[in-house]
Amino acid sequence: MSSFDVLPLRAVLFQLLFLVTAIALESMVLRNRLGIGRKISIQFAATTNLLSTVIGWMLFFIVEPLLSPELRSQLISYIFFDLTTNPPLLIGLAFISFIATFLVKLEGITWLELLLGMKKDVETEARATAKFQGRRAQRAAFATVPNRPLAVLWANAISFSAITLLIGIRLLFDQTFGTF
Amino acid sequence: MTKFFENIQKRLKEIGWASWQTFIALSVFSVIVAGMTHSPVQTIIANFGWLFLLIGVWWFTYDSTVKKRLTFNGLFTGPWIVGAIVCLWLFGSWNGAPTPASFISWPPVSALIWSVPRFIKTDPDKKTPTYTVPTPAARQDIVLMLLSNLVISCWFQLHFLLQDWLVAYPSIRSDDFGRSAFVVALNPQSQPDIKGIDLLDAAEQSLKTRLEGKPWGDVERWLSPEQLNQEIPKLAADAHTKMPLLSESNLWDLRGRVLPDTQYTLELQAIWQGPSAKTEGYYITKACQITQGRKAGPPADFEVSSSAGSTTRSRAIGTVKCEAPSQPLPIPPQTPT
Repeated sequence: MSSFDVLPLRAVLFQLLFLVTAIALESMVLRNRLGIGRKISIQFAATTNLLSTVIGWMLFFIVEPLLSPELRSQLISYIFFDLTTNPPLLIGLAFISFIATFLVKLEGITWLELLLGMKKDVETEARATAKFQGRRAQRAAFATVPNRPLAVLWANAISFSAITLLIGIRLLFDQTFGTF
Repeated sequence: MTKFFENIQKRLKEIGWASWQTFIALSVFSVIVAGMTHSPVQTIIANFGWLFLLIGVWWFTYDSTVKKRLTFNGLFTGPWIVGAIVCLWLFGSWNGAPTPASFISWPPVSALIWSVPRFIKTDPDKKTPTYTVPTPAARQDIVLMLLSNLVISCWFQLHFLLQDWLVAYPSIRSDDFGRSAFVVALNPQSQPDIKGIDLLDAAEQSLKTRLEGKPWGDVERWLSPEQLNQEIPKLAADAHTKMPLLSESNLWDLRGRVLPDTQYTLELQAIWQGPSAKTEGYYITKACQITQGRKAGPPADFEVSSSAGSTTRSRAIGTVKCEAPSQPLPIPPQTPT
């Protein structure tokens, strides 16, 4: 039977901190950019962030057994000793996860709307009405109609920046005060 | 005494047959019966025992007073108790602690149990429960509950992955996790299990079988720099065959050198090439003194000729004496040897 000597408690705490930060910031961005209510924006942000977290962990657990001994050794160094032996790989993964979370969040909102049986979203309705108002009106509508992918992209960018900032602050603390 | 039984009888009558107590009693009864039977029948009865326990506990937690007790901050924790029983039934073992599978499945299974009442409504005419599609608000709650519990089960999975790594690479445990952003070591004083020490001990054994009691001339030849460069890899291969079959074993490199200006102090080094808190890795050394010993030559008749001849005739042989392995030493930026 496995022991409970070494626990991933820091990972849990950091994940909770990042999730709360991301949900708070993203719901704010979504509310401002999509003109939706506070409750719905929090629902969107919470659901999509939890969904992308779960998918991320699943991918990690699928990929981990396939790693070469060399890569696994690097991963273990990173997790147990916070040693970044392969910065290019880390930056590449961060970039990929940014794109992937953006897509998951965009799709996640659509799925959630379907599941909750929400009314057709504002965007398509506005486009549909614009259709009958001639070309000029349609062009004008583009400016005012909230653009959902752009809003989600902004939300994702801001939450990622905040999390990067938090990681940076941790590294700074680490260097000045030794152990965290 | 009769009053005591009457009391129990009265209690039982108050409870009635359709109650959670009935199912708990049935479960206990099943366990007793299962204890008296053998394999195929026993499994069936044991499964019924779990089923009765499950229904009994489920019923018990939804009892209005119990439900109030188990509700914290508006969250009813009963489903996680029922979920624990389901997971122990499906994945746990009878005589051991819960298996990793039961830990990992516990949160999502509990979330599913939590969502069950949201799919059920009371039929207004027949007063029986029927299936219903949850309201949009309930659907949102179910999604959030399920996802957050899946995140928790990912944390459990991470925990077990870490345990697997610690089993495969026991030497990691001897390092300091203070800088980690992921893990906490609760018991840092526990005895580290550094496999490099085992490798050095195995190398010492191989060294002794090679040099102990061999003619001194051969020993010196073995220790000469050119020869040593060929012999150490063989020694390392020998020592590696005695190591346990772990992923970590291949990450220990064995090297050796004769320390300069010594009449043969062979320093064996076990170099850790796996993950470590020290940027350049670390190594453990073991110093072995290889000295000239004397073994009496063939006795009797030769002894007679001359006393000077006896010293030449008693053969010089190698003796090997090794010290205890050193503490782990960080490797300086330029690797030694």
